[in-house]
Amino acid sequence: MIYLDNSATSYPKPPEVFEAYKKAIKYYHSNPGRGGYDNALLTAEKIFEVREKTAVFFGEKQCENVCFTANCTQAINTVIKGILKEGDHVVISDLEHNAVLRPLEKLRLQSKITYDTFTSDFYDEKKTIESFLGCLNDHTKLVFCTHASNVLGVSLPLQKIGKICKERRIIFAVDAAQSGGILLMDKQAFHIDYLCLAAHKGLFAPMGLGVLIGNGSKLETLVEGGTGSQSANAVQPDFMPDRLESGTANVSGIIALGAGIDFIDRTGRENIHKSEKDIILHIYDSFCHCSEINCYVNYEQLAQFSPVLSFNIADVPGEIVAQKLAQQGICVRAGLHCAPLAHRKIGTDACGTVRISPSFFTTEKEINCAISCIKKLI
Amino acid sequence: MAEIRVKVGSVTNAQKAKKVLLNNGIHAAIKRAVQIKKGDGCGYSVVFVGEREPALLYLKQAGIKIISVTANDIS
Repeated sequence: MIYLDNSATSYPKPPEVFEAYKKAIKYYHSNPGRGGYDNALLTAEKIFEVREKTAVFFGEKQCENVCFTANCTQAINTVIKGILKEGDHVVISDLEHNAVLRPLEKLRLQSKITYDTFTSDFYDEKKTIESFLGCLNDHTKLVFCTHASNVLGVSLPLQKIGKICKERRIIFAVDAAQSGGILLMDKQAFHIDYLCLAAHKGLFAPMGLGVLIGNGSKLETLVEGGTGSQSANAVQPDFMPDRLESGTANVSGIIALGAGIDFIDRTGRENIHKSEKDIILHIYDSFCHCSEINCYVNYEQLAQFSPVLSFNIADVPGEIVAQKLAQQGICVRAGLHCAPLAHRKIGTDACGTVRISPSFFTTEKEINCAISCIKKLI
Repeated sequence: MAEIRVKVGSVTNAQKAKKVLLNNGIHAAIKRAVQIKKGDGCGYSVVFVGEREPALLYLKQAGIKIISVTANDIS
């Protein structure tokens, strides 16, 4: 099998993540924040270590602002539904995933909010910022942007957008599902209020874990329940992370996330990114000489991007291409990738694309084999 | 000499409090809060032997919300 669907979830995981996960199930088996016996406290200590590690990795000073969620989508919903009130206006990019689009659309259909979409320019940041500024109005309460498109890998000028938001006192939230652990992300430097992450992609944790790093403000809760704290009070605690962490945590997943971050720190995020970037550039170079293959983005012209490449072969439906590759043991994802806005932008909303997303562990041999198989489909 | 129990609510706050105290040279342990007051409920305390006021100051400076403080004379 040649696995090239790391944008859906990364595989393989580093060996130490696998070991940490196994060890967690065996040795950190108690519910943290509930009991007072040794193993419950030991497990809580491990969770705290990962909370601190995650905070440091993403440039957050207060580790209690790191909340573990079920996934990135839940983190995004928590932000959107926890912040917005009737009459608020939101600005998003034209690359957003349904995780951002659908909650906003639901609120819009309920006539509670309005939102506008700015146009990103892959090669000209100035044009992106101009379009962004044109969408802001006096009622804009929240700006929600993806760090990198899950369809095309292109990234947005978050630092500039964040600075504008800060100057205008607009809340800035970022969906870093595709970029966390790969592209540089510093929550403070980028002026981000809420950072939403998928732990199981570039951070190498198992599936079923997301991270929301907030700014300490008291968000309205999406879910209420047991937190192991202030139990006599029927009202949800107002302090973090308990306010946003009801119910039992994914302990083994969180401990494995810690091992994933350790792996990235030891390997070097830049090294991981470079390795994956080189693979994309190699694929792009192989494809751009074939007139039958459309790549939609000139990766050679991009300053930075997440390791994702979308393509189509002439008028062959993407699903057919993916199916034929699957028959040869090559795992890629076709369709709209839950991101209809990005597909609308590149004119593939009717047919979708085939998406290749390699990882740090993808070998040159695997990539050359995949390229060869794809070219044989022409 | 007194054993000071500072109830700080959640286990995360307790972990953070323990670290703050350790950074200031005070060794503390985390214990389940044993005295549950009406309207309060479960939670965790950091427990240490030493002077109360400087420790509380360190915790307050670190932004840790203190729910209650008890002292038991162990001398």
